[in-house]
Amino acid sequence: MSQLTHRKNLQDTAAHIGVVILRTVLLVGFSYIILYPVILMFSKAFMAQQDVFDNSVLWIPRHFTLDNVKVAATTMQYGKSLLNSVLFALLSTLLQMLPCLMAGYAFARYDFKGSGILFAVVVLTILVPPQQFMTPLYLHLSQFDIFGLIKALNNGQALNLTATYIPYFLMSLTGFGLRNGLFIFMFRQSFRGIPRETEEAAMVDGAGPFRIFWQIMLPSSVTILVTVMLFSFVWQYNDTYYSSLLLPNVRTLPQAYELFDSAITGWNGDLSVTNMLSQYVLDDPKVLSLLRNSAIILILAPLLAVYAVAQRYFIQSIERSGLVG
Amino acid sequence: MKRKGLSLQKKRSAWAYMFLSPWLFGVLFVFAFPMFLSLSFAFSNVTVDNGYSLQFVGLQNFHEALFVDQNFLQHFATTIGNMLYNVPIILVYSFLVAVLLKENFAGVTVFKFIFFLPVILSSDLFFSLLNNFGSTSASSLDSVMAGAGSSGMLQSLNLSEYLVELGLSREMVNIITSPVDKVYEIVTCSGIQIFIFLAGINSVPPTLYEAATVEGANGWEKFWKITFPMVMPMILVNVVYSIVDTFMSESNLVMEYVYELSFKNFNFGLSSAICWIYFAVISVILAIVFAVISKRTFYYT
Repeated sequence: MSQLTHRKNLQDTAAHIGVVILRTVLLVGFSYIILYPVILMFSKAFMAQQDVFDNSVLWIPRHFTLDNVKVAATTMQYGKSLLNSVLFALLSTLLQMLPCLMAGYAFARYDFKGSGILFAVVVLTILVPPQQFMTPLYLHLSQFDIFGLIKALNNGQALNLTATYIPYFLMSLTGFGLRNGLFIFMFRQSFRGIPRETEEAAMVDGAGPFRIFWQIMLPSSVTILVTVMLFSFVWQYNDTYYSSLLLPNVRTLPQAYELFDSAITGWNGDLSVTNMLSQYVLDDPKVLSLLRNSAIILILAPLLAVYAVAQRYFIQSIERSGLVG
Repeated sequence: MKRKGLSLQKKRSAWAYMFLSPWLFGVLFVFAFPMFLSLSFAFSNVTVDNGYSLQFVGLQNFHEALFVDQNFLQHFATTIGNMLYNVPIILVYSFLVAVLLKENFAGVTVFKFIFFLPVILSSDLFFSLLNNFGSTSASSLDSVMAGAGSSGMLQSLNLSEYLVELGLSREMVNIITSPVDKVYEIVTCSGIQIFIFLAGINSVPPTLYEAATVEGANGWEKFWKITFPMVMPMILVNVVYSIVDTFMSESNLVMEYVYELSFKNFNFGLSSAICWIYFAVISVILAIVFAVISKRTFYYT
């Protein structure tokens, strides 16, 4: 009898070891696929030019250099562009939260006429490609006029609002920025999970709806709020479409990268840049690739830093709630 | 006795609309009005000069999009084909990884960190970098990331040659090897989905497993009889999320083409018509998927 249980235990241990091995192999394999381009990016960004032509150098640079990064930083005016990008992403995130939170709260807690239809509109805003309403809106705002009133007052000229920040604030403050429909949805789901009793107690004590929202609902939703803000920040930071359409005169990192790319693929007349670039063999695609990698590392580094610090918010919140459940 | 003010029901409605007011303003002016403009563009010839003027042309733009324009249908078919092909693979892959990550073993946080990384790096610039590895150079190192995929990384090229030599037809070989070539694309698209599945798996009440163990079920049975049905609702969420994510991405072919038509060719009529066709087809696809999956979904309440 004891021999039998002993054998059973051995079998279990063997099966367990098998599972662990299989799991490790699969996870390491998939991780390798994800990390491969990241590792390659880091390896190339710090590789000196001569290593590219050296066939014995594959991943680890033989001549470590910061020149690529320096050139990329100068050409992109890194400090300024980074500041613009971060400010844009941060400000958009902050502005979008209030309308999204308020809408999410109304849908979660109030049973009002038309709530079904309006919630369908939220879902619709998630499903409509941004281009579909952004393009006509842009065109309309570039020739802004209200029934001919503005033309009459402005010597027959319509206002070009796209040169101002008005469209940007309009979209952010009304909850129509990047993926805001999804945020409203997430807030609604999270508010629905908060027990009604606390609210009712506050109501009995005489708190008005706004006070309940501000002093009870918001403090209980800090985690989801931080998560949504982080997502919003990351998506805005990576986005090129909204920023190029809404902030025409501000050079964010993606636009700076485009300038950098045109500077290294063809001289654009900037002398200070060409002096630094003259050490590079710019006809060679492999050298270009070094420079591009350095530039993109510069762009992604702040994001990676944010992720490293705040990863538990990203991962745990989805893991707990299923994003929408 | 006269009633004071509004009834509670009406008061609550008023408060609801107060909370919604910024968003409602947006619905009217940032969403509904531009959508109406887009619809009128789709049926008109739009000329832009110090203001834009519309000339009603009926269905001409739609006709052009569907029968004259050479790019749209091709891009559209590619996008839908990719979606149909990728979504099932994304589902299987993310479910597999979620099952692997569900246990609390040493280093699980590191793996979670890595598997979520693609969501953070979902930048067009980063993807352009991957494309540049291949397109600008033919050297062995640089072609490793050829295209958006990674044919060089897993050397499926050799595999497909081998399979052809074995006597399989080219089409069959392509079907077999293309998931391998697309592996990078799949892995990068699955960041969120993995964790949605993980949420589903973690929310299964442990009592179910305990009861099954008492009844003598083994791991395999527990997986198919408990875990899988309990995670079904998350499958629906993930399918919808994956489809929307593919279609809304500004870097997909149709969206890029629309951008080009609007802001390079200034053909706003055609681009609006394309947007409406696109939107209609996405809605139909989502409605079908939703109906099919939710009918088969088991809800544990």
